[in-house]
Amino acid sequence: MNWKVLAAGALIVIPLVTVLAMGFGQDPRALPNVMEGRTAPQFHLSDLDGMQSYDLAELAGKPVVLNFWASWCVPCAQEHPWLIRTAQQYEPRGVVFLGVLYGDEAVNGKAFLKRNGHAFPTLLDPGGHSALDYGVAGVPETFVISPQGQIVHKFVGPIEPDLMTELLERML
Amino acid sequence: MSALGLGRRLLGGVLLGLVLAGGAPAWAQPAGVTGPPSTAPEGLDEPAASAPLTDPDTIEAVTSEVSSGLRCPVCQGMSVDDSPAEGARTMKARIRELVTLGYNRQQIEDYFVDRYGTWILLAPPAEGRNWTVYVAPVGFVVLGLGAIGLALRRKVLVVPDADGATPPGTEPAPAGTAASLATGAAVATPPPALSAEGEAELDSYRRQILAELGLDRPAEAT
Amino acid sequence: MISIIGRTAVLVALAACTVGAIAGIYGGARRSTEALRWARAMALIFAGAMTLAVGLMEYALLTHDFSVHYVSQVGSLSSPTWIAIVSLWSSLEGSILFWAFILGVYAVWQTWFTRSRYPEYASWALGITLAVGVFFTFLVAGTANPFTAVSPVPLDGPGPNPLLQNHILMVVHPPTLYLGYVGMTVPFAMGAAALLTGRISPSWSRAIRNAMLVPWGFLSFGIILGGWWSYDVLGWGGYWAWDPVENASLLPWLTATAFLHSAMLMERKEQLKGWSMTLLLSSFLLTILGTFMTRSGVFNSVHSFTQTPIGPVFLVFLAIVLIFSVMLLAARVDKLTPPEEGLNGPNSRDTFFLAQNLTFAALTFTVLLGTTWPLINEAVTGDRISVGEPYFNRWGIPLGFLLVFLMGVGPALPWGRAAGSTVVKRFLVPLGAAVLVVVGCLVFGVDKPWPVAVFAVSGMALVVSVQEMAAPGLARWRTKGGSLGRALVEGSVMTRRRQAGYIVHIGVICVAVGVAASSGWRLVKELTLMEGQTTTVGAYTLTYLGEATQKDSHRTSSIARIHVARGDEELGELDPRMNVYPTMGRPLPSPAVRSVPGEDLYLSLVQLEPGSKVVSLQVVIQPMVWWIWFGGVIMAAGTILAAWPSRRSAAALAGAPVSPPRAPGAAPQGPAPGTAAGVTASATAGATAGATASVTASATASAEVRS
Repeated sequence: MNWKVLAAGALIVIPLVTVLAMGFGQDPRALPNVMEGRTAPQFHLSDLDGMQSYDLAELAGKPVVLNFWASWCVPCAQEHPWLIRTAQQYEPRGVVFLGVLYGDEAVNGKAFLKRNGHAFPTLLDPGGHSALDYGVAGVPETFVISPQGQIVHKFVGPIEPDLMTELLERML
Repeated sequence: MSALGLGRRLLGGVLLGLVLAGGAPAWAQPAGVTGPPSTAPEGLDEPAASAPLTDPDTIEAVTSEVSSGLRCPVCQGMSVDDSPAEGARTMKARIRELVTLGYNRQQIEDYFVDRYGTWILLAPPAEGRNWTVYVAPVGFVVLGLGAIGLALRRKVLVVPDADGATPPGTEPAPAGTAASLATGAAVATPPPALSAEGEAELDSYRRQILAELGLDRPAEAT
Repeated sequence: MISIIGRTAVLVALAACTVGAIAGIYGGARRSTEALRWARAMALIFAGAMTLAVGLMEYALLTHDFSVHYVSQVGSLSSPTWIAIVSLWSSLEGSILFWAFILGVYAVWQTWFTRSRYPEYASWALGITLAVGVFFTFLVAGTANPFTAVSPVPLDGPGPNPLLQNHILMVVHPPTLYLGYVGMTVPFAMGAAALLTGRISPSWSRAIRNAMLVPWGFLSFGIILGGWWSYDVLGWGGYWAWDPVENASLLPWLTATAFLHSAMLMERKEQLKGWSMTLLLSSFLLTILGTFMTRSGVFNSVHSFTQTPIGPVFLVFLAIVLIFSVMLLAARVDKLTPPEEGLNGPNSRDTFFLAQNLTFAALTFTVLLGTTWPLINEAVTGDRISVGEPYFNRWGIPLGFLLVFLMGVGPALPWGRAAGSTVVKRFLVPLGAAVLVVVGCLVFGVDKPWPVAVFAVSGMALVVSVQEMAAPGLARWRTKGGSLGRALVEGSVMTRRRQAGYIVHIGVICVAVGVAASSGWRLVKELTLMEGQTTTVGAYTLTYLGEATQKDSHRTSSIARIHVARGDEELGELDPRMNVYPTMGRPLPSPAVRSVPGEDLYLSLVQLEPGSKVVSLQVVIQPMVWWIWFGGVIMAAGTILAAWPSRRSAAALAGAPVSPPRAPGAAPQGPAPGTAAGVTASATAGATAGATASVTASATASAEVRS
């Protein structure tokens, strides 16, 4: 029995198998979430009609829900009705809901909202600058920003209703 | 020095050199000449490292260089430079803007790492634990070269030269092995005796092989 | 109905493998010919049952029998016939079924070429192959069962992944790659058999090398096809992205290529046995690792299937074969007979073989480390990082360059020790060629350092390869006279193996040149054209003629018709398209490529809004991409030439015992076992420059004619 070979073999095999085993249960496609807990980046964007502009600094003191979406995005369409209902429920209580169009044209966004209804303004993000600022990699992604301007939570993919409700309640 | 030593050194040098060329971290940064301070675009806290660029070819080249080091967030492993995906093209456009404004590679990379995590870099930064992945291959090659050196140093049993001298550092081949048979050296324990005809036949076959291989003409044998 | 028969066939295969594995291993341990016969029979039953299962599955796919689970997942009424056929390997369960089928075919092949020979090894080897078969048939029968009956029977299915329907290469790339991957089992089993018995006879080591050629050839070609598919389908104009699954296919190729070379040293000089065996076993282990990476869902890749329960099962199997291999090597490596002679010094081919093996090993290590590093890092720190192209290129380029360099140096050196003057003489012409190439490049304004360096060593390697290919013919001409042409032909025919090896080398040189040229001078431009508008990119003039639509049974395509010209020369029309599949939200671009040996013009659609009269496309111009595919074909041709069974090699494989010289005119020529005692014994009248025996190592300094 050649102990050197055995030791070398063990040195390679054991870590390799262990690391591979630890890979189970992780989703390799999930992206790291670095923005949570940090100050929300500033933005200054106008809505789809170009009439009114919104500035995060002006919204200080109020909780903000920032929802990035696109007309071609199927899960966005699926979460849309729930989002409208929730907005109608919480806007009177002081929560600001804003949508941001991502990788899409204003005309498509307006058509979508006309078809599916809307309860809060959607903003245009030319060049995707704000999306990049927020570390958005796809849609839908929703950011919950505290009255103090911290990103309390980031939903990657469709919003989880229970968690959202809980977060909003906590902030009010 | 002898051809032996030269050959060995040359080979080792070439191997090591090529490997180290790959191993040295290559973070070439353009010298930052601070031009007039420009308003930092949204998100970037610091002004650009150098003056804004004007030549479209340079801009394109630098954009390509920076974006080929960043990972497309919606693809599986493709760089922002290569990817035709929507998210990647948005990122690349932004990179182009920042490059035009004069931001250098380090600044742009830092910005994206800040928003997306270290994961957005296509090669891990050479710090902390990640040094392993840059150093290990070099270590592997060095170990390998050592192993080869050891293997070559093991006593080489070799055929004496054509005139019978044994080259230095070697031993004459033990009688009876293939090595000694070629030179017709006396065999210590002869194989079962052949008849005279067998011997003659054997001899003619041997001569024939050596002829075919061109070994019967010593001038050409080297 | 099909479900039941199919499942039964798989269970029969599983049973046959189990019985055969036990019989084979018993036969090896107890040297029982009876047990060997059982193992052979079981191998045949295994193959037969899997053929039936695959046949049934194809039938179900072609007849759209949605009562079969797998068909309900990947079948579709709208799929054209060729897609229905290839959907067998388009998804996880089908691909494992396919794997088991190919393993059956290989097991039969193994049974055939070990028939009535190698009594001490055949049984062990067959037992091990069938043991691997147990795992795969178990998977097909259990966790990854494609034959489950579905009820209620759906009316239609979603069809395979649209990415896989986009290109005809889907027909060839996966099967070729599988034939490479699965085939590694056979030389693995043979190597393990040798280790288990404790000795590697020269004829068996020859047989292992022959057996390795077949999967190696398929794997090489499969990898090139993968690059081609990636290039033609994915729309970014590249052919290799260092994607985890791509790396997974490269790893066993690297160790197998290293093995094919070190095995030569093993055969001739009984050197490096332990190392060769390590390479051999690793080649198989890496295929299992590779398939784990593809199927476990642990790695993020273009290829990866989603996480399924199959992952953990694969990991267990991987662990088992890893432990088995390590223990086998540790227990037996000291028993392998030590060499009679040492390695020759730096001026001989030996050293360059070692250097080349080290390069392959370093490349394998680096690619494996880089691919698993994100996983390791995440396991230790929880942070996610990426290791991608910049990292792999940093090592891949220098090491790849080094390999081509060694290809240009090694073959020119003799096996034995050579005097310095010999070395110099042999290198004059190749070095001259390298210098000429560099000068030529600089004269023509080709000046990027790495590509020019690759061109230079490629020139050197090409000249050396041609030199070595001509050597047997020239030696024959010099001793026998007659016409040079005839001597060259006859000399080459007699050294078929050696010629094949150099042909493969030339194929590799083509690939290296193609890669260097295409990556060195790649031009990418994105542009938007109105209908009727013309623009210039590089040397080409592009005009957007307009859009067209094409409706197929399984997809709708929007086509942009682009007219291409270069200067005054009309080059016709290229039609990049966007394919919309019913199951996929966004359309998939399908690029149009004009590929000629000099340069590729590659058009890929970015946006084509129907009716908008505007098209946005990405244009990529890369020189010499064609050489990569051409090189792949040359490599395949060389491998076929090398692996083709012949009367000679068959007799040599027979491992005929050393016999006294025979009468003139008789006898096997060509490569024979390289035993020391084979010198006079296998010499026969009429033995030519295609020498039979490895006469001696060093005395044949000049006229080295064997590969």
